Amino acid sequence: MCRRLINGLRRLEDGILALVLAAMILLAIGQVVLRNVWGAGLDWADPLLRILVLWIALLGAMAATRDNNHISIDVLSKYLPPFLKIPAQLISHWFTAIICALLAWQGARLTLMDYQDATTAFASVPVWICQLIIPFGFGIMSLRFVLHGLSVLLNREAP
Amino acid sequence: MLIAVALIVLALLGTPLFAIIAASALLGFYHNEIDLMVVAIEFYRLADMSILLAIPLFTFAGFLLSESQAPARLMRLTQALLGWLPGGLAMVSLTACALLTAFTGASGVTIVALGALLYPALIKAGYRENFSLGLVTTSGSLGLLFAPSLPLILFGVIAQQMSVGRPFTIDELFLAGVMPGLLMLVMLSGWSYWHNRDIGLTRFTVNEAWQALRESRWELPLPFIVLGGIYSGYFAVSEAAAVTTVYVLIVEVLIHREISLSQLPAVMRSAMVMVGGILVILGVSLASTNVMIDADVPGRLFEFVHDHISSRLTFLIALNVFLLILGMMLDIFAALVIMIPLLLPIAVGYGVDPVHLGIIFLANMQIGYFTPPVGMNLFIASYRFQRPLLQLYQATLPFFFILLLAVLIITYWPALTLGLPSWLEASRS
Amino acid sequence: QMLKIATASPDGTVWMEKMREAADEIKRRTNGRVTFRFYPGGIMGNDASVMRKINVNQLQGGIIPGGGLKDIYPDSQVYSLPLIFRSFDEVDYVRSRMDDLIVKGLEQNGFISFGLSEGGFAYLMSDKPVSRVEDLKGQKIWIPEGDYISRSAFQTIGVSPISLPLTDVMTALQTGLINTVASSPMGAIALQWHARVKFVTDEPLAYLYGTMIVQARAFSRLRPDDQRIVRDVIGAVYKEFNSINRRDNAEALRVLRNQGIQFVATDENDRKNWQAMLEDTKSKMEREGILSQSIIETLRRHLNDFRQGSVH
Ligand code: NA
Ligand code: NA
Repeated sequence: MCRRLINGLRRLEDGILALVLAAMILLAIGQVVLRNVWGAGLDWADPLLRILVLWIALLGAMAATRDNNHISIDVLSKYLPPFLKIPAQLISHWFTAIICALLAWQGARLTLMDYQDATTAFASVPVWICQLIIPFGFGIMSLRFVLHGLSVLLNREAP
Repeated sequence: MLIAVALIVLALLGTPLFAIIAASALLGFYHNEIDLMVVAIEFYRLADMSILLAIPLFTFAGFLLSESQAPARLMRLTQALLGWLPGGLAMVSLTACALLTAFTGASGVTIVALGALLYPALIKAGYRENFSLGLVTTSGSLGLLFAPSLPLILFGVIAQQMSVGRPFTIDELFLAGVMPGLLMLVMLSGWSYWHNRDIGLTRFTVNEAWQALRESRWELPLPFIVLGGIYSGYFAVSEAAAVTTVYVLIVEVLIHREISLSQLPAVMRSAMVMVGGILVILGVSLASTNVMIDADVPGRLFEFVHDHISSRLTFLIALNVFLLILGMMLDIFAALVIMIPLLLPIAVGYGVDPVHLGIIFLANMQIGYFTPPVGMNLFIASYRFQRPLLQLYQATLPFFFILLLAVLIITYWPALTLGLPSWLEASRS
Repeated sequence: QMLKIATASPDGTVWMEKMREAADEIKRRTNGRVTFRFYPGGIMGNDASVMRKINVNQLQGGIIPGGGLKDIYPDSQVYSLPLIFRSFDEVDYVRSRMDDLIVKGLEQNGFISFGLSEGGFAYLMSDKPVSRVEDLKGQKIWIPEGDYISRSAFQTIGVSPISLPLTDVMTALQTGLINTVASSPMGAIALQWHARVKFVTDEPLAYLYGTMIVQARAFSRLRPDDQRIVRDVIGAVYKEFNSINRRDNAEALRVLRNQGIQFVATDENDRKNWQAMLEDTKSKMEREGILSQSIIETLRRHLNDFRQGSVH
């Protein structure tokens, strides 16, 4: 039951990522066509495309977190003796979880500030809706890093 | 100081770089008594930069290409056209790798996707094992200087954001990379020719050339769409990215049918994992850069360096040594976001053109990929071809020295880099 | 106390040099109690980012163009109405009577301004001659991001302009993404846009201006006599900017003429044709509550006074 729910959520997340990318491609090519055929594009499309880049950044980072596939230096861990590998991974996962939580928190404060100031991004879309992905994305990432750490601790092997 | 050491140790233990950079930004703002929300404000600036749109689009196109049979077609074509030359197959590898890397950004994709084809082919054609290994490993980062490589775009984004020195456009950067990139290709080809003058001849036949051309007729226009479109000024960079992506989608999914519609979401996802990884680093590095700018670190650093290094020449030598080490240790994207904000003001202070600095930086990073002992592509190749690291060190050494020479030429002869863009600019207006 | 000020204008310009000189003078006269640090070249982000950073006290102020103040005090945009001024004489007459109103308005909304400074008149620059409103149909016109008044003005004549960040304009002109910009002569030359256009419409389209604002909360923490010194010194610099920019724009206009760019003259009929655009924009701004009726009325009254006094 729990397994199925998690799998469903994962599929939903992948679906959203693919949808956002597809929307981005369609919108971008649409602008090229409109500009070359009609001489002018849609005026909300360019700002929306820029917002979608931010969303792709965080949705992609969420996916990278799920795969435990973030860019890292990772030269030392290859040479660590086995008994040090688990604590090292645990520290690195949970440290990242704390940083993500802080970023989510600051993102939430920013979203709240622009909500209160009622600023608009484009057309009449408020800025705070565009910013929501920041606390949401980093929140999910934080959770995932906590879980990565737990699985290191419980399975006693790298996830 | 203690905290800095702790962060470095955490990074070496494999902590994601974005977390390290974000932590340093948070600590920096905390230390300077500035509201930590600035980290989020800076991160949100990812949505202010229109050029960034090119990154997900080009990356997706690159992933589609490497998932399809396009690399095989590309190799057959270059083989048919260059295979008759002594060392021809080696040049084939170099050219094919450079073209693919321009699209995939040297993330190891080239070694994995093309190396699997090239290495057995080289061995079968009678090339020595060490030469083949060295060639494939070196080729993995070749092409970084050609449009639309991601690191090139990223350098432009970061430098424009700093607004130090002469303003320039991404198009100009794309043009600037052409001659230095070709220089590297030509020098490596020369070495391949000389080293293999006795082997590797396949006869040139019009028929095979024609077949290979026919087979890759759909991919052939790609460089012209990207480079022609941007260099001629017909497309903006992000427009070229949109056109490229849609074109590649049509060719690989609808015409060649090598990637099915049901496979697409998976390809999208793996491409966006890479994009997310890069952009999240860029986002937090905007914040870490802002800490430094807020406290005027670049200015003070320049004064410090200026006190110790008097001439431009000495500065450039020091820069090359420093970048080689950096390139060996650090991922190219992390190196860009961390070092450019510091280096650019210093370099401009010594009279180095910002565009030239970008090319010097990336050329050094390119060698860094296979600089012993810890260049990343050495590990990838060792793993991919099941050869000991030591053998790879040996195999790549001649290539390392050839490219080092190329880097020195690029560094100390600015006209090689800046000539083409300024010539084209002059002829346009 | 340090006041951290962000600006989009690049380092090394006359503007920045004068601002730094002013900062030195203030530091000297306040015995180092008040110092400034400038962040030029848009390094702190666009106007929206700068306003957020002022909100959280990372910055205390910014040098912001007229349109960037709309979230603080919308009426401060009033001089941006298209085609409202016909000459610098009109500008000088109106501004000497209305600047104080705008400065006071900003102050009531939490920001100290040290006076407005002129950026010059924006002229339409294009690849085709534009003398009537109809000539703009089908042209790809660039407007700065967030410039709501210009956007509305072009929309009233059925043209939807393209807004891009300043950094993208040059590339967009090259690629033909846009082919028409409205810019001061000075700005067009500084940003090299003039190399990409062939025609300039010889009629001022809009008045450009900006101001340096400092958060009132931070400013009130200064000693009263220090406050006066800051006001005096920066106020004087802003007056100086006015005359420098007017001179530089006149010079830039001469350069444009000498470079073979054609100036498209407009006749009486053309001007009537443009004037409708102004009226439509004004009523649209009023209707949408972007500008208050009273500020538009005040501006109109001053203009009428001037025109009746000098034009017979
Ligand atoms: Na590297
Ligand atoms: Na940084």
